[in-house]
Amino acid sequence: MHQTRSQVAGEVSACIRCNECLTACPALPVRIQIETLNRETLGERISPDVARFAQACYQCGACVPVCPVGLHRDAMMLWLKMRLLHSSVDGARSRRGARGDRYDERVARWR
Amino acid sequence: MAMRAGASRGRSQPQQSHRRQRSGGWSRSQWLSALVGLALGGALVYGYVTYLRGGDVSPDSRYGYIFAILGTLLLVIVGAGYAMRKRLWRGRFGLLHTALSWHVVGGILALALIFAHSAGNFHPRTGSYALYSLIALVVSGIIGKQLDRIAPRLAARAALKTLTFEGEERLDALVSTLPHKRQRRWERSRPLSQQTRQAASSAPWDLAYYDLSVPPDEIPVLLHQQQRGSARPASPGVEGALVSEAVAIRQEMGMERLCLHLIRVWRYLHTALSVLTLILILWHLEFAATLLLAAR
Repeated sequence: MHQTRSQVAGEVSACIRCNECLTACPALPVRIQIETLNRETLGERISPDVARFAQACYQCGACVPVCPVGLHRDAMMLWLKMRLLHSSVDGARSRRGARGDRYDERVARWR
Repeated sequence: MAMRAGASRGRSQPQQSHRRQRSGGWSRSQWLSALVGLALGGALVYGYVTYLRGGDVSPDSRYGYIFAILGTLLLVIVGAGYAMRKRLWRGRFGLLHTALSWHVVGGILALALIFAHSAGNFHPRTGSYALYSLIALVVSGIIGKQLDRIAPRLAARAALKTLTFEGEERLDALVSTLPHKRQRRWERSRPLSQQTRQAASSAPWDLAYYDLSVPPDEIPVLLHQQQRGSARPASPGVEGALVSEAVAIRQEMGMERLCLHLIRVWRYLHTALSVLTLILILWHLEFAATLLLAAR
């Protein structure tokens, strides 16, 4: 299940950077540093590689049992997914500009 | 908001990636394995057509055995190899994602080889059961791969609706606002002396006094209870809006849970089918060995 921002922040700060979660991940398409992933999970900028990984993550949970400190990397990835989803909705709205009213209505319907 | 601040400044790059992913953005290893799979598949089709044009077309012909041996070997390599790479050789031989790409392509090719081995013979024997199980296994893998694309996205979309702009639980926010408002309204209606006395006597001194673990299912009930227990009931419109909002959030949580469960349950199904296929293949091998030994 998802976690709140404060819970994700707590998990990120508890990460010991052993890289076990990324090693066990079947969805990781390119090598990513765990520090980068942790930083960008809550940071302002999301690099293309991390965004791509977040999109590719299919929440199989393979990263959870291998974590030596019992963190939930799947929930952190879900948080990143939500941020990307939110940014795509936000971006589409700004691209539409003045004509975005109808789009806003549609978004409001599913938000 | 936290989510918005995080997303908007680095907007262009993730969005480009997001669009690329939506338009079926494959990784390099997926492309490579798909191309190799296509080339080998083409060679297999050519070999199978040549085999059909020849005289001896049966599972126990020479080419039939070659297809069977190649298919079984490929199954062992991509099936057992992926499982071992995942559990035993963690962190070796490149990324697990690359192994998964080869696992998918190898599984489809192995099915094609075993199908070529059967040469259209689907008698109700051990081999046909093994073939049906293998078909179910490969189809479950293909469906699972599509589920892996769709279900996490739906889960993220549902989860997004259960959070506030600050990234906290909307249900918590909903429940916490209700008693505060009621408490304030109630306090305002009483004389000042009673208010101070009440504040001194009834304020809980222990944080454990508060029940923070209210399950989502109980929220509408809880809201109703609070409405009933209040000195002055809220208007039916406000109550209805709160309850319907709580129910909507609960539905989104259910949707998220369903999507995540579906991904994991499908994985178990695929594993169970692979075990079944392995048993049926072993049964078929034992049957074929008996026939071969009897012929000698």
